[in-house]
Amino acid sequence: MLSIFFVRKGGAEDRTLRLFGLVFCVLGLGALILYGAIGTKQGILSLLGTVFLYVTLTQAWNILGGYGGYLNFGTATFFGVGAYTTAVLFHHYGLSPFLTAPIAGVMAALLGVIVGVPTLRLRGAYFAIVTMIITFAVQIVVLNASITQGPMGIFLPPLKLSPLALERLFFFMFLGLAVVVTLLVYAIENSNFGWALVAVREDEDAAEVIGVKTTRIKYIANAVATFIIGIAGGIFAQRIMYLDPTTAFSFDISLNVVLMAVIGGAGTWQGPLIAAPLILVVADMLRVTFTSEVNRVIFSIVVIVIALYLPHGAMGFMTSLRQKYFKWRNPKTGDEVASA
Amino acid sequence: MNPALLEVDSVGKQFGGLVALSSVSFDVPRSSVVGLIGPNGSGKTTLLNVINGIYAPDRGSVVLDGVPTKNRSPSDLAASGVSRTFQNARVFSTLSVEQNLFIPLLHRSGGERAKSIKRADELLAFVGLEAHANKTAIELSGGQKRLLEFARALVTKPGLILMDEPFAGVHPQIKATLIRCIQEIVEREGASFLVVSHEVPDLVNLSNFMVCLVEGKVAAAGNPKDVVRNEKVIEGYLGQSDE
Repeated sequence: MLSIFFVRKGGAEDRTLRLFGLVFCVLGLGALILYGAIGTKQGILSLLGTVFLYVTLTQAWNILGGYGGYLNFGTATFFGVGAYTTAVLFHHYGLSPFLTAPIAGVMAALLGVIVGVPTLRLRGAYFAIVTMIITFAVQIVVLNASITQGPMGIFLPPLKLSPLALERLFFFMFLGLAVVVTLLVYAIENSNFGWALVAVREDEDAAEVIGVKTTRIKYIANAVATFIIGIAGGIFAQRIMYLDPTTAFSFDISLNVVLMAVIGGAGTWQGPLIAAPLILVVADMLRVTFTSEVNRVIFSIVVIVIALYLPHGAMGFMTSLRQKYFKWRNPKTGDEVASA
Repeated sequence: MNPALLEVDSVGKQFGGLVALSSVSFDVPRSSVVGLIGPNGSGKTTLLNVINGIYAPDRGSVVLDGVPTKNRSPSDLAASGVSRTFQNARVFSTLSVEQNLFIPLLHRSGGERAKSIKRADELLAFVGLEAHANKTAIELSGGQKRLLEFARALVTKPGLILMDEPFAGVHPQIKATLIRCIQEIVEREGASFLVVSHEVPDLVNLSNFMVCLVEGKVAAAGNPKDVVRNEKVIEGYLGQSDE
Protein backbone atom coordinates (compact mmCIF):
# COMPACT_ATOMS: atom_id res chain seq x y z
CA MET A 1 0.00 0.00 0.00
CA LEU A 2 3.03 2.28 0.10
CA SER A 3 2.30 5.24 -2.09
CA ILE A 4 4.03 5.80 -5.38
CA PHE A 5 3.91 9.46 -4.46
CA PHE A 6 6.33 9.06 -1.59
CA VAL A 7 9.15 9.64 -4.02
CA ARG A 8 7.88 13.13 -4.66
CA LYS A 9 7.39 14.40 -1.13
CA GLY A 10 8.19 18.06 -0.72
CA GLY A 11 11.44 19.69 0.24
CA ALA A 12 13.08 20.76 3.49
CA GLU A 13 10.59 23.52 4.29
CA ASP A 14 7.67 21.22 3.63
CA ARG A 15 9.21 18.64 5.95
CA THR A 16 9.60 21.33 8.62
CA LEU A 17 5.92 22.19 8.30
CA ARG A 18 4.99 18.52 8.54
CA LEU A 19 7.18 18.10 11.62
CA PHE A 20 5.55 21.15 13.15
CA GLY A 21 2.13 19.65 12.44
CA LEU A 22 3.15 16.34 13.99
CA VAL A 23 4.48 18.04 17.15
CA PHE A 24 1.26 20.08 17.37
CA CYS A 25 -0.87 16.93 17.09
CA VAL A 26 1.18 15.03 19.69
CA LEU A 27 1.06 17.95 22.15
CA GLY A 28 -2.68 18.38 21.54
CA LEU A 29 -3.29 14.69 22.14
CA GLY A 30 -1.17 14.81 25.30
CA ALA A 31 -3.20 17.76 26.59
CA LEU A 32 -6.46 15.94 25.88
CA ILE A 33 -5.28 12.79 27.66
CA LEU A 34 -4.19 14.91 30.64
CA TYR A 35 -7.56 16.67 30.75
CA GLY A 36 -9.40 13.36 30.45
CA ALA A 37 -7.42 12.01 33.39
CA ILE A 38 -7.70 14.98 35.75
CA GLY A 39 -10.61 17.07 34.44
CA THR A 40 -13.65 17.12 36.71
CA LYS A 41 -16.19 19.09 34.69
CA GLN A 42 -18.66 16.53 33.40
CA GLY A 43 -20.12 18.95 30.83
CA ILE A 44 -16.76 19.50 29.16
CA LEU A 45 -15.84 15.81 29.26
CA SER A 46 -19.20 14.99 27.72
CA LEU A 47 -18.84 17.63 24.99
CA LEU A 48 -15.32 16.43 24.17
CA GLY A 49 -16.59 12.84 24.06
CA THR A 50 -19.16 13.94 21.46
CA VAL A 51 -16.45 15.81 19.54
CA PHE A 52 -14.34 12.61 19.38
CA LEU A 53 -17.39 10.61 18.29
CA TYR A 54 -17.98 13.06 15.43
CA VAL A 55 -14.28 13.13 14.52
CA THR A 56 -14.56 9.34 14.13
CA LEU A 57 -17.73 9.51 12.05
CA THR A 58 -16.44 12.34 9.86
CA GLN A 59 -13.10 10.66 9.26
CA ALA A 60 -14.95 7.48 8.26
CA TRP A 61 -17.26 9.48 5.95
CA ASN A 62 -14.18 11.15 4.51
CA ILE A 63 -12.84 7.88 3.08
CA LEU A 64 -15.52 7.55 0.40
CA GLY A 65 -17.08 11.00 0.58
CA GLY A 66 -14.00 13.18 0.85
CA TYR A 67 -11.34 11.25 -1.05
CA GLY A 68 -13.70 9.37 -3.37
CA GLY A 69 -16.12 12.26 -3.96
CA TYR A 70 -19.27 10.28 -3.17
CA LEU A 71 -21.47 12.64 -1.15
CA ASN A 72 -23.10 10.25 1.28
CA PHE A 73 -26.06 11.46 3.33
CA GLY A 74 -26.58 8.05 4.91
CA THR A 75 -24.12 7.97 7.82
CA ALA A 76 -27.07 7.60 10.23
CA THR A 77 -28.06 4.33 8.53
CA PHE A 78 -24.86 2.57 9.51
CA PHE A 79 -24.56 4.38 12.83
CA GLY A 80 -28.08 3.25 13.74
CA VAL A 81 -27.47 -0.32 12.60
CA GLY A 82 -24.30 -0.43 14.72
CA ALA A 83 -26.10 1.00 17.74
CA TYR A 84 -29.03 -1.41 17.39
CA THR A 85 -26.71 -4.39 16.91
CA THR A 86 -25.08 -3.94 20.32
CA ALA A 87 -28.39 -2.96 21.94
CA VAL A 88 -30.19 -6.04 20.59
CA LEU A 89 -27.30 -8.34 21.52
CA PHE A 90 -27.36 -6.93 25.02
CA HIS A 91 -31.13 -7.08 25.33
CA HIS A 92 -31.47 -10.66 24.12
CA TYR A 93 -28.15 -12.24 25.14
CA GLY A 94 -26.81 -9.95 27.86
CA LEU A 95 -23.59 -9.24 25.92
CA SER A 96 -21.80 -6.00 26.76
CA PRO A 97 -21.77 -3.41 23.91
CA PHE A 98 -18.03 -3.00 24.52
CA LEU A 99 -17.56 -6.64 23.51
CA THR A 100 -20.02 -6.62 20.65
CA ALA A 101 -18.96 -3.31 19.07
CA PRO A 102 -16.86 -5.15 16.42
CA ILE A 103 -19.96 -7.19 15.53
CA ALA A 104 -21.80 -3.86 15.16
CA GLY A 105 -19.08 -2.81 12.74
CA VAL A 106 -19.44 -6.04 10.77
CA MET A 107 -23.24 -5.69 10.58
CA ALA A 108 -22.96 -2.10 9.38
CA ALA A 109 -20.30 -3.05 6.82
CA LEU A 110 -22.47 -5.93 5.62
CA LEU A 111 -25.35 -3.55 5.08
CA GLY A 112 -22.90 -1.11 3.49
CA VAL A 113 -21.84 -3.75 0.95
CA ILE A 114 -25.45 -4.79 0.22
CA VAL A 115 -26.58 -1.18 -0.20
CA GLY A 116 -23.35 -0.18 -1.96
CA VAL A 117 -23.71 -2.62 -4.87
CA PRO A 118 -26.68 -0.78 -6.42
CA THR A 119 -26.08 2.73 -5.04
CA LEU A 120 -22.40 3.10 -5.92
CA ARG A 121 -23.38 2.91 -9.58
CA LEU A 122 -25.11 6.26 -9.07
CA ARG A 123 -23.25 9.54 -9.02
CA GLY A 124 -23.62 13.07 -7.71
CA ALA A 125 -27.02 14.16 -6.43
CA TYR A 126 -28.64 10.80 -7.23
CA PHE A 127 -26.25 8.98 -4.90
CA ALA A 128 -26.76 11.60 -2.17
CA ILE A 129 -30.57 11.37 -2.37
CA VAL A 130 -30.63 7.56 -2.41
CA THR A 131 -28.35 7.28 0.63
CA MET A 132 -30.69 9.66 2.48
CA ILE A 133 -33.77 7.66 1.52
CA ILE A 134 -32.14 4.41 2.65
CA THR A 135 -31.78 5.88 6.16
CA PHE A 136 -35.54 6.50 6.31
CA ALA A 137 -36.26 3.02 4.92
CA VAL A 138 -34.05 1.29 7.50
CA GLN A 139 -35.53 3.47 10.23
CA ILE A 140 -39.03 2.32 9.27
CA VAL A 141 -37.92 -1.33 9.30
CA VAL A 142 -36.43 -0.92 12.80
CA LEU A 143 -39.57 0.95 13.91
CA ASN A 144 -41.69 -2.04 12.94
CA ALA A 145 -39.45 -4.96 13.88
CA SER A 146 -40.13 -6.96 17.03
CA ILE A 147 -36.47 -7.79 17.69
CA THR A 148 -35.74 -4.05 18.08
CA GLN A 149 -38.88 -3.48 20.18
CA GLY A 150 -40.18 -1.05 17.55
CA PRO A 151 -41.02 2.46 18.75
CA MET A 152 -40.56 1.43 22.41
CA GLY A 153 -36.84 1.24 21.90
CA ILE A 154 -34.29 -0.65 24.00
CA PHE A 155 -33.00 0.28 27.45
CA LEU A 156 -29.43 -0.55 28.39
CA PRO A 157 -28.73 -0.46 32.13
CA PRO A 158 -26.16 2.11 33.25
CA LEU A 159 -22.68 0.90 34.05
CA LYS A 160 -21.87 0.74 37.75
CA LEU A 161 -19.71 3.85 37.75
CA SER A 162 -20.05 7.37 39.10
CA PRO A 163 -21.36 9.92 36.54
CA LEU A 164 -17.88 11.50 36.31
CA ALA A 165 -16.16 8.14 35.80
CA LEU A 166 -18.74 7.29 33.17
CA GLU A 167 -18.02 10.48 31.21
CA ARG A 168 -14.32 9.81 31.59
CA LEU A 169 -14.74 6.27 30.25
CA PHE A 170 -16.57 7.41 27.11
CA PHE A 171 -14.17 10.35 26.73
CA PHE A 172 -11.27 7.90 26.45
CA MET A 173 -13.17 5.34 24.38
CA PHE A 174 -14.14 7.88 21.73
CA LEU A 175 -10.73 9.58 21.91
CA GLY A 176 -9.04 6.23 21.27
CA LEU A 177 -11.40 5.49 18.40
CA ALA A 178 -10.86 8.96 16.90
CA VAL A 179 -7.05 8.59 17.10
CA VAL A 180 -7.05 5.13 15.51
CA VAL A 181 -9.41 6.18 12.71
CA THR A 182 -7.47 9.41 12.07
CA LEU A 183 -4.24 7.39 11.76
CA LEU A 184 -6.02 5.00 9.40
CA VAL A 185 -7.29 7.88 7.24
CA TYR A 186 -3.81 9.44 7.26
CA ALA A 187 -2.42 6.09 6.04
CA ILE A 188 -5.11 5.91 3.35
CA GLU A 189 -4.38 9.48 2.23
CA ASN A 190 -0.74 8.54 1.73
CA SER A 191 -1.36 5.19 0.07
CA ASN A 192 -1.98 4.08 -3.50
CA PHE A 193 -5.51 3.22 -2.41
CA GLY A 194 -6.04 6.85 -1.33
CA TRP A 195 -4.71 8.16 -4.63
CA ALA A 196 -6.95 5.80 -6.54
CA LEU A 197 -9.89 7.22 -4.57
CA VAL A 198 -8.80 10.75 -5.46
CA ALA A 199 -8.69 9.72 -9.13
CA VAL A 200 -12.26 8.40 -8.78
CA ARG A 201 -13.31 11.75 -7.32
CA GLU A 202 -11.59 13.73 -10.06
CA ASP A 203 -12.94 11.75 -13.00
CA GLU A 204 -14.19 8.21 -12.52
CA ASP A 205 -14.34 7.31 -16.22
CA ALA A 206 -10.86 8.63 -16.91
CA ALA A 207 -9.54 6.76 -13.86
CA GLU A 208 -11.13 3.51 -15.02
CA VAL A 209 -9.71 3.67 -18.55
CA ILE A 210 -6.17 4.21 -17.28
CA GLY A 211 -6.35 1.12 -15.10
CA VAL A 212 -7.86 2.16 -11.75
CA LYS A 213 -10.29 -0.55 -10.67
CA THR A 214 -12.88 2.00 -9.65
CA THR A 215 -15.67 -0.39 -8.66
CA ARG A 216 -13.45 -2.40 -6.33
CA ILE A 217 -11.93 0.76 -4.84
CA LYS A 218 -15.38 2.21 -4.07
CA TYR A 219 -16.67 -1.01 -2.50
CA ILE A 220 -13.62 -1.34 -0.26
CA ALA A 221 -13.83 2.32 0.80
CA ASN A 222 -17.52 1.94 1.56
CA ALA A 223 -17.01 -1.25 3.57
CA VAL A 224 -14.19 0.27 5.66
CA ALA A 225 -16.17 3.46 6.31
CA THR A 226 -19.38 1.69 7.31
CA PHE A 227 -17.45 -0.72 9.55
CA ILE A 228 -15.99 2.21 11.50
CA ILE A 229 -19.35 4.01 11.69
CA GLY A 230 -20.97 0.79 12.94
CA ILE A 231 -18.42 0.41 15.75
CA ALA A 232 -18.96 4.04 16.80
CA GLY A 233 -22.72 3.44 16.82
CA GLY A 234 -22.27 0.29 18.88
CA ILE A 235 -20.39 2.16 21.61
CA PHE A 236 -22.79 5.11 21.41
CA ALA A 237 -25.70 2.79 22.37
CA GLN A 238 -24.08 2.10 25.74
CA ARG A 239 -23.37 5.78 26.22
CA ILE A 240 -26.95 7.00 25.80
CA MET A 241 -28.42 3.88 27.50
CA TYR A 242 -31.74 4.17 25.70
CA LEU A 243 -32.04 3.60 22.00
CA ASP A 244 -35.03 4.40 19.84
CA PRO A 245 -35.25 4.59 16.01
CA THR A 246 -35.63 8.39 16.00
CA THR A 247 -32.37 8.95 17.89
CA ALA A 248 -30.33 6.18 16.31
CA PHE A 249 -31.27 7.04 12.71
CA SER A 250 -31.50 10.81 13.15
CA PHE A 251 -30.83 12.68 9.92
CA ASP A 252 -28.99 15.29 12.03
CA ILE A 253 -26.13 12.79 12.37
CA SER A 254 -25.73 12.46 8.59
CA LEU A 255 -26.04 16.20 8.07
CA ASN A 256 -23.56 17.10 10.82
CA VAL A 257 -21.00 14.68 9.42
CA VAL A 258 -21.26 16.15 5.90
CA LEU A 259 -21.09 19.70 7.29
CA MET A 260 -18.01 18.88 9.35
CA ALA A 261 -16.25 17.24 6.41
CA VAL A 262 -17.04 20.11 4.05
CA ILE A 263 -16.24 22.91 6.50
CA GLY A 264 -13.01 21.26 7.62
CA GLY A 265 -11.98 20.35 4.09
CA ALA A 266 -13.28 17.16 2.50
CA GLY A 267 -10.59 14.72 1.47
CA THR A 268 -8.07 15.76 4.12
CA TRP A 269 -7.33 13.94 7.37
CA GLN A 270 -6.98 17.28 9.18
CA GLY A 271 -10.43 18.58 8.14
CA PRO A 272 -12.53 16.60 10.65
CA LEU A 273 -10.06 17.45 13.45
CA ILE A 274 -10.68 21.15 12.82
CA ALA A 275 -14.38 21.14 11.98
CA ALA A 276 -15.83 18.69 14.51
CA PRO A 277 -14.75 20.68 17.60
CA LEU A 278 -15.44 23.99 15.86
CA ILE A 279 -19.01 23.12 14.91
CA LEU A 280 -19.92 21.33 18.13
CA VAL A 281 -18.43 23.99 20.39
CA VAL A 282 -19.97 26.86 18.37
CA ALA A 283 -23.33 25.06 18.30
CA ASP A 284 -23.09 24.48 22.07
CA MET A 285 -22.23 28.13 22.74
CA LEU A 286 -25.09 29.31 20.51
CA ARG A 287 -27.47 26.89 22.23
CA VAL A 288 -26.74 28.29 25.69
CA THR A 289 -26.75 31.91 24.46
CA PHE A 290 -29.81 32.03 22.19
CA THR A 291 -33.16 30.30 21.82
CA SER A 292 -33.21 27.19 19.67
CA GLU A 293 -34.71 28.99 16.63
CA VAL A 294 -32.23 31.89 16.77
CA ASN A 295 -29.20 29.65 17.26
CA ARG A 296 -30.15 27.59 14.19
CA VAL A 297 -30.45 30.76 12.11
CA ILE A 298 -27.06 32.05 13.30
CA PHE A 299 -25.49 28.65 12.74
CA SER A 300 -26.90 28.54 9.20
CA ILE A 301 -25.49 32.00 8.47
CA VAL A 302 -22.07 30.88 9.71
CA VAL A 303 -22.22 27.83 7.39
CA ILE A 304 -23.26 29.97 4.39
CA VAL A 305 -20.42 32.44 5.02
CA ILE A 306 -17.90 29.59 5.23
CA ALA A 307 -19.29 28.01 2.04
CA LEU A 308 -19.01 31.35 0.23
CA TYR A 309 -15.56 32.40 1.38
CA LEU A 310 -13.90 29.05 2.07
CA PRO A 311 -15.28 26.76 -0.65
CA HIS A 312 -12.59 24.15 0.04
CA GLY A 313 -13.01 24.35 3.79
CA ALA A 314 -10.52 25.30 6.46
CA MET A 315 -7.85 23.01 5.02
CA GLY A 316 -8.26 24.52 1.57
CA PHE A 317 -7.65 27.94 3.10
CA MET A 318 -4.59 26.68 4.96
CA THR A 319 -3.23 25.02 1.82
CA SER A 320 -3.53 28.29 -0.11
CA LEU A 321 -1.71 30.07 2.75
CA ARG A 322 1.02 27.43 2.57
CA GLN A 323 1.36 27.87 -1.19
CA LYS A 324 1.63 31.65 -0.75
CA TYR A 325 4.32 31.08 1.86
CA PHE A 326 6.29 28.85 -0.52
CA LYS A 327 5.90 31.37 -3.34
CA TRP A 328 7.17 34.07 -1.00
CA ARG A 329 10.14 31.91 -0.01
CA ASN A 330 10.90 30.75 -3.56
CA PRO A 331 9.75 33.59 -5.82
CA LYS A 332 11.50 32.12 -8.89
CA THR A 333 9.82 28.72 -8.90
CA GLY A 334 7.13 29.13 -6.30
CA ASP A 335 6.92 25.43 -5.64
CA GLU A 336 7.77 23.23 -2.73
CA VAL A 337 9.99 20.69 -4.47
CA ALA A 338 12.39 23.39 -5.55
CA SER A 339 13.33 23.98 -1.96
CA ALA A 340 14.67 20.44 -1.51
CA MET B 1 1.73 -13.95 -34.10
CA ASN B 2 -1.51 -12.48 -35.41
CA PRO B 3 -0.67 -9.55 -37.71
CA ALA B 4 -3.63 -7.56 -36.39
CA LEU B 5 -3.42 -6.19 -32.85
CA LEU B 6 -7.13 -5.42 -32.78
CA GLU B 7 -9.90 -7.09 -34.75
CA VAL B 8 -13.30 -5.43 -34.79
CA ASP B 9 -15.73 -7.93 -36.26
CA SER B 10 -19.35 -7.11 -37.19
CA VAL B 11 -19.82 -4.89 -34.13
CA GLY B 12 -23.30 -3.50 -33.56
CA LYS B 13 -24.48 -1.15 -30.84
CA GLN B 14 -27.93 0.28 -30.27
CA PHE B 15 -29.28 2.79 -27.73
CA GLY B 16 -33.02 2.19 -27.60
CA GLY B 17 -34.23 2.82 -31.14
CA LEU B 18 -31.01 4.55 -32.21
CA VAL B 19 -28.60 2.35 -34.13
CA ALA B 20 -25.17 3.79 -33.31
CA LEU B 21 -23.08 1.05 -34.91
CA SER B 22 -24.15 -1.49 -37.50
CA SER B 23 -21.92 -4.41 -38.39
CA VAL B 24 -18.63 -2.49 -38.18
CA SER B 25 -15.55 -4.51 -39.10
CA PHE B 26 -11.90 -3.55 -39.51
CA ASP B 27 -8.47 -4.40 -38.11
CA VAL B 28 -5.81 -2.33 -36.43
CA PRO B 29 -2.42 -3.75 -37.52
CA ARG B 30 0.55 -3.76 -35.16
CA SER B 31 2.83 -0.69 -35.19
CA SER B 32 0.43 1.41 -37.18
CA VAL B 33 -1.83 4.43 -37.08
CA VAL B 34 -5.43 3.89 -38.10
CA GLY B 35 -7.47 7.02 -38.79
CA LEU B 36 -11.17 6.96 -38.05
CA ILE B 37 -13.22 9.65 -39.77
CA GLY B 38 -16.88 10.34 -40.30
CA PRO B 39 -19.52 13.00 -39.74
CA ASN B 40 -20.76 13.94 -36.27
CA GLY B 41 -23.06 11.26 -34.91
CA SER B 42 -21.64 8.55 -37.15
CA GLY B 43 -20.62 6.41 -34.17
CA LYS B 44 -16.87 7.09 -33.91
CA THR B 45 -16.82 7.76 -30.15
CA THR B 46 -19.28 4.91 -29.53
CA LEU B 47 -16.88 2.62 -31.38
CA LEU B 48 -13.98 3.76 -29.19
CA ASN B 49 -16.16 3.17 -26.12
CA VAL B 50 -16.93 -0.36 -27.31
CA ILE B 51 -13.26 -1.15 -28.00
CA ASN B 52 -12.37 0.37 -24.64
CA GLY B 53 -14.91 -1.74 -22.70
CA ILE B 54 -17.06 1.21 -21.60
CA TYR B 55 -19.93 -0.20 -23.70
CA ALA B 56 -20.54 -3.86 -24.41
CA PRO B 57 -21.35 -4.51 -28.07
CA ASP B 58 -24.86 -5.82 -28.79
CA ARG B 59 -23.55 -7.84 -31.69
CA GLY B 60 -20.16 -8.88 -33.05
CA SER B 61 -16.86 -9.09 -31.26
CA VAL B 62 -13.71 -7.17 -30.44
CA VAL B 63 -10.53 -9.23 -30.25
CA LEU B 64 -7.37 -7.78 -28.75
CA ASP B 65 -4.14 -9.64 -29.44
CA GLY B 66 -6.11 -12.79 -30.22
CA VAL B 67 -8.25 -12.61 -27.05
CA PRO B 68 -11.93 -11.53 -27.14
CA THR B 69 -12.56 -8.49 -24.93
CA LYS B 70 -16.15 -9.48 -24.10
CA ASN B 71 -17.22 -8.61 -20.54
CA ARG B 72 -13.87 -7.04 -19.71
CA SER B 73 -13.88 -3.74 -17.86
CA PRO B 74 -11.93 -0.71 -19.10
CA SER B 75 -9.46 -1.15 -16.23
CA ASP B 76 -8.88 -4.79 -17.22
CA LEU B 77 -8.28 -3.73 -20.79
CA ALA B 78 -5.92 -1.01 -19.59
CA ALA B 79 -3.92 -3.74 -17.85
CA SER B 80 -3.82 -5.57 -21.19
CA GLY B 81 -2.34 -2.55 -22.90
CA VAL B 82 -5.30 -0.47 -24.11
CA SER B 83 -5.16 3.21 -23.29
CA ARG B 84 -7.13 6.23 -24.45
CA THR B 85 -7.71 9.95 -24.49
CA PHE B 86 -11.09 11.66 -24.59
CA GLN B 87 -12.80 14.18 -26.87
CA ASN B 88 -12.36 16.85 -24.18
CA ALA B 89 -9.09 16.40 -22.32
CA ARG B 90 -9.98 14.75 -19.01
CA VAL B 91 -7.10 15.33 -16.63
CA PHE B 92 -7.25 15.11 -12.85
CA SER B 93 -7.61 18.83 -12.23
CA THR B 94 -6.58 19.12 -8.60
CA LEU B 95 -3.52 16.90 -8.98
CA SER B 96 -0.16 18.13 -10.21
CA VAL B 97 1.00 17.35 -13.72
CA GLU B 98 3.36 14.61 -12.56
CA GLN B 99 0.78 13.17 -10.15
CA ASN B 100 -1.53 12.79 -13.15
CA LEU B 101 1.11 10.57 -14.70
CA PHE B 102 1.53 8.50 -11.55
CA ILE B 103 -2.15 7.48 -11.26
CA PRO B 104 -1.92 4.79 -13.98
CA LEU B 105 1.13 3.36 -12.18
CA LEU B 106 -0.54 2.82 -8.81
CA HIS B 107 -0.75 -0.95 -9.13
CA ARG B 108 2.90 -1.33 -10.10
CA SER B 109 5.54 -2.30 -7.59
CA GLY B 110 9.27 -2.67 -7.07
CA GLY B 111 11.57 -2.33 -10.08
CA GLU B 112 8.63 -2.03 -12.46
CA ARG B 113 7.49 1.04 -10.52
CA ALA B 114 10.93 2.64 -10.56
CA LYS B 115 11.10 2.15 -14.33
CA SER B 116 7.64 3.62 -14.74
CA ILE B 117 8.49 6.70 -12.68
CA LYS B 118 11.52 7.24 -14.89
CA ARG B 119 9.28 6.87 -17.92
CA ALA B 120 6.84 9.44 -16.48
CA ASP B 121 9.70 11.94 -16.26
CA GLU B 122 10.83 11.12 -19.80
CA LEU B 123 7.30 11.48 -21.15
CA LEU B 124 6.90 14.92 -19.60
CA ALA B 125 10.04 15.99 -21.44
CA PHE B 126 8.85 14.17 -24.58
CA VAL B 127 5.61 16.19 -24.78
CA GLY B 128 7.29 19.38 -23.57
CA LEU B 129 5.65 19.67 -20.15
CA GLU B 130 8.71 19.11 -17.96
CA ALA B 131 8.71 22.76 -16.84
CA HIS B 132 5.14 22.36 -15.61
CA ALA B 133 5.64 19.13 -13.64
CA ASN B 134 4.70 20.65 -10.29
CA LYS B 135 1.83 22.79 -11.55
CA THR B 136 -1.72 21.77 -10.78
CA ALA B 137 -3.35 20.38 -13.92
CA ILE B 138 -6.13 22.99 -13.75
CA GLU B 139 -3.50 25.70 -14.33
CA LEU B 140 -2.60 24.32 -17.77
CA SER B 141 -3.97 25.66 -21.06
CA GLY B 142 -6.37 23.53 -23.10
CA GLY B 143 -3.58 22.39 -25.40
CA GLN B 144 -1.27 21.54 -22.52
CA LYS B 145 -4.06 19.50 -20.94
CA ARG B 146 -4.26 17.52 -24.19
CA LEU B 147 -0.52 16.88 -24.03
CA LEU B 148 -0.79 15.83 -20.41
CA GLU B 149 -3.67 13.46 -21.15
CA PHE B 150 -1.62 12.03 -24.03
CA ALA B 151 1.43 11.52 -21.82
CA ARG B 152 -0.80 9.88 -19.17
CA ALA B 153 -2.13 7.50 -21.81
CA LEU B 154 1.42 6.51 -22.73
CA VAL B 155 2.92 6.08 -19.28
CA THR B 156 2.08 2.38 -18.92
CA LYS B 157 3.63 1.68 -22.35
CA PRO B 158 0.35 0.48 -23.89
CA GLY B 159 0.14 -1.48 -27.13
CA LEU B 160 -2.99 0.28 -28.38
CA ILE B 161 -3.85 3.92 -27.81
CA LEU B 162 -7.31 5.20 -28.71
CA MET B 163 -7.42 8.95 -29.30
CA ASP B 164 -10.69 10.82 -29.64
CA GLU B 165 -10.27 14.05 -31.60
CA PRO B 166 -6.82 14.91 -30.23
CA PHE B 167 -6.33 17.85 -32.61
CA ALA B 168 -9.65 19.59 -32.00
CA GLY B 169 -9.22 23.22 -30.97
CA VAL B 170 -5.50 23.05 -30.23
CA HIS B 171 -2.75 25.42 -31.33
CA PRO B 172 -0.94 24.24 -34.53
CA GLN B 173 2.28 23.90 -32.53
CA ILE B 174 0.63 21.51 -30.08
CA LYS B 175 -0.94 19.61 -32.96
CA ALA B 176 2.52 19.26 -34.50
CA THR B 177 3.87 18.01 -31.15
CA LEU B 178 1.10 15.42 -30.90
CA ILE B 179 1.70 14.20 -34.47
CA ARG B 180 5.46 13.98 -33.91
CA CYS B 181 4.94 12.07 -30.64
CA ILE B 182 2.50 9.60 -32.23
CA GLN B 183 4.94 8.88 -35.06
CA GLU B 184 7.85 8.43 -32.66
CA ILE B 185 5.92 6.11 -30.33
CA VAL B 186 4.87 3.91 -33.27
CA GLU B 187 8.43 3.77 -34.56
CA ARG B 188 10.20 3.41 -31.22
CA GLU B 189 7.81 1.27 -29.21
CA GLY B 190 5.78 -0.48 -31.88
CA ALA B 191 2.47 0.76 -30.45
CA SER B 192 -0.67 1.16 -32.54
CA PHE B 193 -2.98 4.16 -32.57
CA LEU B 194 -6.63 4.46 -33.50
CA VAL B 195 -7.18 8.18 -34.00
CA VAL B 196 -10.57 9.84 -34.45
CA SER B 197 -10.32 13.27 -36.06
CA HIS B 198 -12.03 15.75 -38.34
CA GLU B 199 -8.61 17.11 -39.36
CA VAL B 200 -8.67 14.89 -42.44
CA PRO B 201 -5.52 16.15 -44.26
CA ASP B 202 -3.41 15.69 -41.12
CA LEU B 203 -4.91 12.27 -40.49
CA VAL B 204 -4.29 11.18 -44.10
CA ASN B 205 -0.60 12.04 -43.68
CA LEU B 206 -0.36 10.39 -40.27
CA SER B 207 -2.31 7.18 -40.89
CA ASN B 208 -1.30 3.91 -42.49
CA PHE B 209 -4.90 2.84 -42.77
CA MET B 210 -8.19 4.71 -42.65
CA VAL B 211 -11.80 3.87 -41.86
CA CYS B 212 -14.75 6.14 -42.56
CA LEU B 213 -17.99 5.63 -40.67
CA VAL B 214 -21.26 7.04 -41.97
CA GLU B 215 -24.47 6.45 -40.02
CA GLY B 216 -22.84 3.71 -37.95
CA LYS B 217 -21.60 1.73 -40.98
CA VAL B 218 -18.20 1.46 -42.60
CA ALA B 219 -18.49 3.58 -45.75
CA ALA B 220 -14.91 2.90 -46.80
CA ALA B 221 -11.73 1.41 -45.39
CA GLY B 222 -8.20 1.08 -46.69
CA ASN B 223 -5.40 3.32 -47.86
CA PRO B 224 -6.08 6.84 -46.48
CA LYS B 225 -5.67 8.55 -49.87
CA ASP B 226 -8.09 6.11 -51.48
CA VAL B 227 -10.60 6.49 -48.65
CA VAL B 228 -10.85 10.28 -48.98
CA ARG B 229 -11.41 9.88 -52.75
CA ASN B 230 -14.12 7.27 -52.24
CA GLU B 231 -17.53 8.42 -53.54
CA LYS B 232 -19.44 7.21 -50.49
CA VAL B 233 -17.03 9.13 -48.22
CA ILE B 234 -17.35 12.29 -50.30
CA GLU B 235 -21.11 12.00 -50.39
CA GLY B 236 -21.61 11.03 -46.75
CA TYR B 237 -18.88 13.11 -45.07
CA LEU B 238 -16.43 15.27 -46.97
CA GLY B 239 -18.77 16.80 -49.57
CA GLN B 240 -17.77 17.94 -53.10
CA SER B 241 -14.98 20.46 -53.48
CA ASP B 242 -15.79 23.73 -55.31
CA GLU B 243 -13.35 23.02 -58.10
